[in-house]
Amino acid sequence: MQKRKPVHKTLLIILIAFSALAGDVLSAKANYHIAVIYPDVRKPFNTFFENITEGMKLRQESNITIWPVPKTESPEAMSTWLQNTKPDAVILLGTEFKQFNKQLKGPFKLIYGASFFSRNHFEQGKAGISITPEPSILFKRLKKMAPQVTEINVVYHELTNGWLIDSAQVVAKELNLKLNKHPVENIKQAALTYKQIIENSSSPTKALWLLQHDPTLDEKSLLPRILADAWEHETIVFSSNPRHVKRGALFSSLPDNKQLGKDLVQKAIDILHGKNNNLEPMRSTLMVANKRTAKHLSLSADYFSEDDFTVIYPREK
Amino acid sequence: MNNIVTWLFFFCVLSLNSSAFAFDDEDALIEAYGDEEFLYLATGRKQTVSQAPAVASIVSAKAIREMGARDIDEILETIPGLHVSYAAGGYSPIYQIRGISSDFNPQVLMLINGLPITNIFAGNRSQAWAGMPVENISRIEVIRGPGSALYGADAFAGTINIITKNHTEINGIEVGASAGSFDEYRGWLQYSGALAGWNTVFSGQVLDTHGQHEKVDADFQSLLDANPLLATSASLAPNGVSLGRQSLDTRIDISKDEWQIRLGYQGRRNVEVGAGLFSTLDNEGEADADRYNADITYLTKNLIEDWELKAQYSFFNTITKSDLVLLPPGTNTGAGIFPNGVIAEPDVYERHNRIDLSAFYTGINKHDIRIGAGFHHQDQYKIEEKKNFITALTPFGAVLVPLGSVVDVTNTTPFNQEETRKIYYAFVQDAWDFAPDWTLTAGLRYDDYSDFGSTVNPRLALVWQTSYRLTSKLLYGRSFRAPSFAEQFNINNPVAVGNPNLDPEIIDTYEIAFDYKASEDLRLGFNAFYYEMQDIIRFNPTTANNTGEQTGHGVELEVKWKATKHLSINGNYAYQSSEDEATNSDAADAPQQQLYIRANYALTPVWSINSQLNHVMDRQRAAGDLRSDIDDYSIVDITLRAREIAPNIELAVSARNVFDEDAFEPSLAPGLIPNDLPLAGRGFFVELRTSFN
Repeated sequence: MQKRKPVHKTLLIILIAFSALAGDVLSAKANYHIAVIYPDVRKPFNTFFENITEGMKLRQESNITIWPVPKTESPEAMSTWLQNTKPDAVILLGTEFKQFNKQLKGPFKLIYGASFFSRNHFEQGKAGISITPEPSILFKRLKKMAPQVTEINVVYHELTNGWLIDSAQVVAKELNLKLNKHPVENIKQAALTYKQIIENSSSPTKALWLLQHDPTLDEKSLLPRILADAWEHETIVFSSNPRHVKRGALFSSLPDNKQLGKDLVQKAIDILHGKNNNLEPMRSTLMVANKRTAKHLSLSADYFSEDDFTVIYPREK
Repeated sequence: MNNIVTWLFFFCVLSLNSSAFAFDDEDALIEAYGDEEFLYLATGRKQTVSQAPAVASIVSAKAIREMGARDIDEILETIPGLHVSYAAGGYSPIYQIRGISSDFNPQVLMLINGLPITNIFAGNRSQAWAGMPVENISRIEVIRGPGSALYGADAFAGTINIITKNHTEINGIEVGASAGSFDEYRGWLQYSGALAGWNTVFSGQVLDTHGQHEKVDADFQSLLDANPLLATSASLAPNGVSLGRQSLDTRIDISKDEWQIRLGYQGRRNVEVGAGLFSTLDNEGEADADRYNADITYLTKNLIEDWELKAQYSFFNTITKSDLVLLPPGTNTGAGIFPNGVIAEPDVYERHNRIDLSAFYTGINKHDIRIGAGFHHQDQYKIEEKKNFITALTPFGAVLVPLGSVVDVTNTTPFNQEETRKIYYAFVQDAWDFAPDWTLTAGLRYDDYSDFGSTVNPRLALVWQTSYRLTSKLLYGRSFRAPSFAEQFNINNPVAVGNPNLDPEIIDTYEIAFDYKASEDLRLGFNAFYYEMQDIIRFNPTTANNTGEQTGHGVELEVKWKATKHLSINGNYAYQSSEDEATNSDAADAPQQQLYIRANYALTPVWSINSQLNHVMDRQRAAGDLRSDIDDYSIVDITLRAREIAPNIELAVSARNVFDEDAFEPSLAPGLIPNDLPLAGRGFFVELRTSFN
């Protein structure tokens, strides 16, 4: 074998050094300018956005400009503001601005946050973090609280939540859980499906997963029916919607606002680096549980320390 | 009655008007979060799980602001089964719970952040309490029924726990002011932030008011004046009650990791005497009060596995100084004329030191165990008194003998004595999930008092999660009320002689309670109770003795209904019947029935209106009081609020007692103020607030 010449070695070292330097330079473009806009809603709702932006400011490597947009502002004004601000990326918080696609075109990356997304958004190639919790977080919690569960049933509207269920199926498999998918088109179909699932899931190995922002889950009439039936049949019900916990679901999650703010900035930086240009569920969450339901299901109370859960219902009097 | 009809009509019009305003962004947030409550919770505020099942009501800061309350009594009046009445002297509040009422009201325990603010002299919250502003209150939890198994003495008829705002509940710097009828001016400043790594909260609230001035047409002196043998014409009646005062309330709360330190001060100046300590109008008398508190708490969950440990030291110092004209110039009670009136200047100084250790253990499956022990030192360290009379007992009754001038009697014939009391206590409570859906909570507390000995108070609660919507509770508890130093050590007052050998008052209470969630928007609570009081302390006839017995029963119904997205309705109804066993007659003064309804309606995203009706019914006289029963009354308040009238400016306009209803609270039997104590007529108040981050 021919001996490699030292000059090549030197070149190689120089090259490696340069590429490392280039990498440094790239990540050292620390001062990405990120603009954040969100609807200027009234108190206390504004605390949600304020906490997210507070978290963003903790990421000191970026230069962040924040504009709470009053309801009276026109989309054109937003466009002008962005032209003057000249950001590298824009983070849009809330559901309101998703419709302003056209006005928000410019030489910057768009990242959506604190909002729900459907398969449409997914297919349009939008990027951001949904307010829906990452299914693996819920599944892992389920395994911890009810280790006997092996199957999860979920009823969903394909166009709205299909993208989420696809990713959930992958993580379920990794956790040795079987995810039984029940796509439905309307509330009536959903009602029948839920009824069947609950009647057939008296076994403690089956659980029901409720989704957030799904048009087939009617919160007024269907949800109370589901939860009352589940109580009768001692079916474990967990949810992506924290509101369901207060009403009797075993557990769910809440956004961890500050961390979510940090995650959104990281997402923006990743996208500016050409990575992770997609929609993803929220990973930074706080847990909420219902102790009354847990007792009814004879689940061990060991999992109900305040360290595990931010909120425990019922807030017993 | 017309007033009620008008109010109901008003309310109906509002309901009909429920056009849909779109709060788009907010709707989306509510969907993400569940509801408004989570917005706060997710910002890091931990819930406090209450320590034992009980019949309880909670009023949040949000509800307090909606109803436009300015003083804590306005909030407490909205609690089912609780009516706020007033004593003639200083219009000190009497929190009548389930028919249990007395002039000094020591049967109710008031806590601020879990620490008692009871004054040992009279067992109340000071003779110059003079109210408490509400801006710094995060929530108020009121437990009706027994609480001694956890809280010790005085959690007897009920416990009122006032929880102040923590650092997550104040938005940077908040300032506000209000002004209105009775020359009332209020101002407040609150701050929340991090100083040197400590979460820091500061709150300061000031008040200056002339107070309502409703007329009393005759008083106790009028009765004396009517006696031809005394030949006086001294009464100031008819004249208005005197309720002017100034107050300053400040609090500092700093916390970091396992440590929390809180300091508080309540100052009261020029507190006027209401309708007088002797049920006699007095337009010169005043009292001042200074109340300081401090506590330091260490709470850890990480020291030992499965154990949450808490250690707390607290200090409370309370000083009340009074300059009173008990009877007006020219009075004569049968032993001589007082040209300057009957003057009394009693001052009481006391301090409390407490050490409390408690632990919460979750290491045994299906059991939550709470244990604790502590020490409480009560010290009435100074009594001072000046007066221009002595009291003498004659065959015709008590008479006041003039001394000619105001004399310092501190070292000769003071009204009470410097005394101390030591209390050691220990408690244990276990909540046992003995079957699915069933929990039995059993608690026991032992208190050892250096004066009257020991007392053991048990508590049992059986909670059954009956169905998805229904929770049922069966409760029993025994509580005690420790005698006050006035009851034990009063001297030189022949009509109210203290008795050092008193035992505590005792109450046994049985309750059955149901909590039914008809839907997410409609929640109903119902309870029925029965209680037996023994060893009630009375000056009978002139010396304090454990002579009284009282029994009572009743029901309470509570409704919380979110009728539409913009309209929420809260209401409650309470019925009680209590009997004084000595006379076999109604225990008197407290309403047998009470109805409260509050509607809050969001007119637009900016404007909201809150209206409330409080209907107080069926208050009987004590045995031997021949006056006709106390009139019922209905008071309607309306508050109009604009959250963002201008950027970051909130405006509220409030009308209290809109229909100017004549409302009265009972005066002392047999009718020292014959036509009772008048409450405020119509009043208007304007409030402005803003915040800076």
